Amino acid sequence: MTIAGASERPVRRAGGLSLTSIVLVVVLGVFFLNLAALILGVVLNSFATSWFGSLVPDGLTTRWYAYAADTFQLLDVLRVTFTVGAAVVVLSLLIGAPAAYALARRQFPGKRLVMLLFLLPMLLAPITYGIPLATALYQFDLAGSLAGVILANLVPSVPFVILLLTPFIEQIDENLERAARMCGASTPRVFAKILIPLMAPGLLAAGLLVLIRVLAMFELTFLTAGPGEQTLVVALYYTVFAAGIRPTQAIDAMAVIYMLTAFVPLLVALRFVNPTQIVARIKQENVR
Amino acid sequence: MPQPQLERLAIEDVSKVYGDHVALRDFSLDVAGGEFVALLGPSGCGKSTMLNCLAGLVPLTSGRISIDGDRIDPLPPERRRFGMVFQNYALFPHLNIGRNVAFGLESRRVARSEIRARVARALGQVRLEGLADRYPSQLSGGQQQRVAMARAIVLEPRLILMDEPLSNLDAQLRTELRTELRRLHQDLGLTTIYVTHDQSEALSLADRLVVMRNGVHLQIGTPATVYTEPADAFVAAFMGYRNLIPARRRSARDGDVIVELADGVTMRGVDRGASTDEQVVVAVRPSDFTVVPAAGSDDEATGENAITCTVRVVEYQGEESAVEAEAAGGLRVHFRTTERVATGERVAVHVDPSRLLVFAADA
Amino acid sequence: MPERSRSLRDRLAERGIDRVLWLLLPAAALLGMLFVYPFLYGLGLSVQSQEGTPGIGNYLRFFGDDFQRSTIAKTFALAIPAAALNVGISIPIAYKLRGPVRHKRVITTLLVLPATLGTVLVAEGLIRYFGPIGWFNQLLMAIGIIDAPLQLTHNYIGVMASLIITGFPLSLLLVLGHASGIDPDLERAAATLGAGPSERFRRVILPLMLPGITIAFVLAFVAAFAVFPSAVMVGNPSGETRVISIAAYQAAFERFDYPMASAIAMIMAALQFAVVGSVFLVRSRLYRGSTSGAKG
Ligand SMILES: Nc1ncnc2c1ncn2[C@@H]1O[C@H](COP(=O)(O)OP(=O)(O)OP(=O)(O)O)[C@@H](O)[C@H]1O
Ligand SMILES: [Mg+2]
Repeated sequence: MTIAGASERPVRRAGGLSLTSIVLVVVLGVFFLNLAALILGVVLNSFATSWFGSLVPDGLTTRWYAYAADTFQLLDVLRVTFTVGAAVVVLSLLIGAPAAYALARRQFPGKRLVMLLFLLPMLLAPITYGIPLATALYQFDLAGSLAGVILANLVPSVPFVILLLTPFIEQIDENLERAARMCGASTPRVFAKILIPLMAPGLLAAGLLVLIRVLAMFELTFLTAGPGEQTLVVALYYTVFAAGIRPTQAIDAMAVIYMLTAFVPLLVALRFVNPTQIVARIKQENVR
Repeated sequence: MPQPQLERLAIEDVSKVYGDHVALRDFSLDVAGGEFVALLGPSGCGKSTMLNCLAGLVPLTSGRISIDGDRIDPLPPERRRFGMVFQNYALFPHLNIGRNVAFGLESRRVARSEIRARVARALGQVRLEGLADRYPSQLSGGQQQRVAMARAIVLEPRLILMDEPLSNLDAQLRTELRTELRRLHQDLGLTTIYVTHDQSEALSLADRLVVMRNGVHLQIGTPATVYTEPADAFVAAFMGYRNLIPARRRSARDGDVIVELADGVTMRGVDRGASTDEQVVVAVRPSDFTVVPAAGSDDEATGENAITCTVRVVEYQGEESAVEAEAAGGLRVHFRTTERVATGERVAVHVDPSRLLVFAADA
Repeated sequence: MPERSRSLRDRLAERGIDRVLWLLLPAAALLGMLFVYPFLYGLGLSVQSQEGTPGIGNYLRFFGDDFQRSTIAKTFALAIPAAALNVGISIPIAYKLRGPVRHKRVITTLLVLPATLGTVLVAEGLIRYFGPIGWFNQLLMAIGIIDAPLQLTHNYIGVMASLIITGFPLSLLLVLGHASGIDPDLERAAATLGAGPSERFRRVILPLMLPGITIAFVLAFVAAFAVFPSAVMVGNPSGETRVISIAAYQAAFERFDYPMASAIAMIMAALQFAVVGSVFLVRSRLYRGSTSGAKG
């Protein structure tokens, strides 16, 4: 009776790996192996005294990080990056969450049109609207300023927040709000005591994901930032271009720092949400 | 065309283990061709597991399943030629009703003209003519249920498996479709295994009942046998013996036993396996109690096999009332009566000794 | 008078119009100002010359110039295969992973990571790893498959590799997220009806995965269409990977010809809408009925 309980795969026959499974494992394995090697190469190079054509660097050092901090005004860049990141997260939550609430709770004429307005920025590559947007911002003297960079980054972030939060709010039972009102709570109190606490996980996840997107958003920042408002990605792009005169190790040190800034919020976000759920929600909304 | 396609289905010592949880333990059952067998039991007792093992949807841990002497348990589900009706119907949402019903025929490469004729006939049998072009999402729950039936019977399977097919429907639709199922079974003579946790459904549909608990069967028998002669206290509880009263066995006389309840009242009943044990359980159906005049303020019960008690809750149910009363020692007694009783009233209830079953106390 | 205004308010509330809708205003206003307005502004700018005379000269110039016009073909040559490849590989993997698979969470987490690397970092990493003296070439030479390093960067291959690294994980997550939502009973039902594994995939799973596949393809295409940093960094930005976004960027920020840059941006938008629209059109032809299973 104590036959080892194999894990259950509905329908499929028990025993043995099928050929397709092996092929898939190989495909995924090769992909991740190459990716890991790619990242490891960058990390290793950032610590290399020198590395040219051999399997591993000649020696290890940490001085490129100090060098990068000096030459690339890393502290300034980090400050700008996180100012932009924080501002975009806060603003897109403040603007997106109420809209998501209205969309989740009301059916009204013209809703499809509003949804389309909120979806379009996600169905177009940023550079497409980035160029007219940058041009328009120049007109208002906003390009090349911190405000301009933040405004530009709000364009994809607000729809993203709405898309993430609408289904999240839909699954919060509306009767909870009604019950609170029956108990005499005013609208602000309903928000403060019922909705915000219930939405907290969703807000947190959405905020972190927006942060990750802003950190990685090259095109919009690149098109709207002046020399003083470069975020880390954009600074990285420029240093790669100024290569030749810069040691590659310093560029890679910068890349490693960028990678860390993006990974930390991601790892935090993953504690709160299951990755397939994130995209499943986006997809569900898109389908309609 | 009532003409069963199999002679005998034999399930022998089937076990199914999930991790360290035993969902089925040495389960054996013989089913004759054309029979309608219901698997009955509480949630989590392994009914669906048994059905899925039969369908080939989960592999057995050990045991054998054979049809007319041929083992079928190594076969994948698509080669067993069974029909299955799922609890949530599992209709293909991307196919219309006609295509849903035709699915299995198409898999078997049946000729187009024949498919059309058989789909039409199956939809007729479940009374869904004219809905072939609708999609599942455009049907009501009851209609979806019928489509699921049609999809299974159109293949004329040698065995049809149903997993709580009516449990997602409202009460009225459930009784309606129950009759329909019985009619279909009579018309088509399909050997059927039917899973349910609703005893009235099992009693009214099945030729034979299998009452299960924790992966084993406690009793197998005709509805009449299981209903009137439950094998143990658990089966009795499942068959509507709502009063399960702990008692001590005193003496036995010609197959009858005398038991003493907590407050010293003695009662006579049928011995159902309590003879060797001092601790017993007395089982009485609420409808087997009759109200008799109470003996004034006297605490002693009036007459033989009667309990005096005070009415606590009366639920009006039309013809009858369901009453919960409290006897001495806090004992709760449930009975049904057509007489009018009021909360707080003292009554005595009597039960015929042949209707009082005495079981060994469950460990 | 109060009677009337009250009933109007009730009538509106009946149709779902009440004060809650004000909550949409900030988001709608923001997108109106920062998305719709710039877009219309760009559209207006694109139909005038640099001096302000109206006309479709910019479009004529773009399509009349071989060098400019060829960017469209180059963009599609990258974006369509990249999207098809990313989604195509995702389908069988998502099919395998859709059920309860061990370590699923680890696998999906690993898949999210590259999406956060961003195109710039991936491009930078690719230059090292795929470069003439990178590990990849070193390995191939050590095994003896090749004797001279392969040219994998600063060309089409480099950009394609970058598009796959940044795009494939996201495609797989989208397709997997959708496939995981398919009721497993549907495949079981198909099995009991006599359909073997390949038939179940073809007739049940694939059609049900189609909406997820469409979305994944559309998003993969849009992301690949705008390939900019990798086209510049690991591609050959004056040759085979001079994609349309480079043309737009150069017009705007190297020649400061904003009308021309706007015209190119409008052409890009039109091309993206055309592809996205036709993908959805094809899907609506292929797939009917609801996206969710019948009955809860
Ligand atoms: N895939 C599985 N992995 C682990 N345990 C399982 C699995 N499927 C079922 N079980 C366990 O096996 C036992 C029997 O499950 P089964 O589904 O057969 O119950 P059931 O009698 O059909 O109950 P219900 O009336 O609720 O449908 C349960 O305790 C359940 O938790
Ligand atoms: Mg079950």
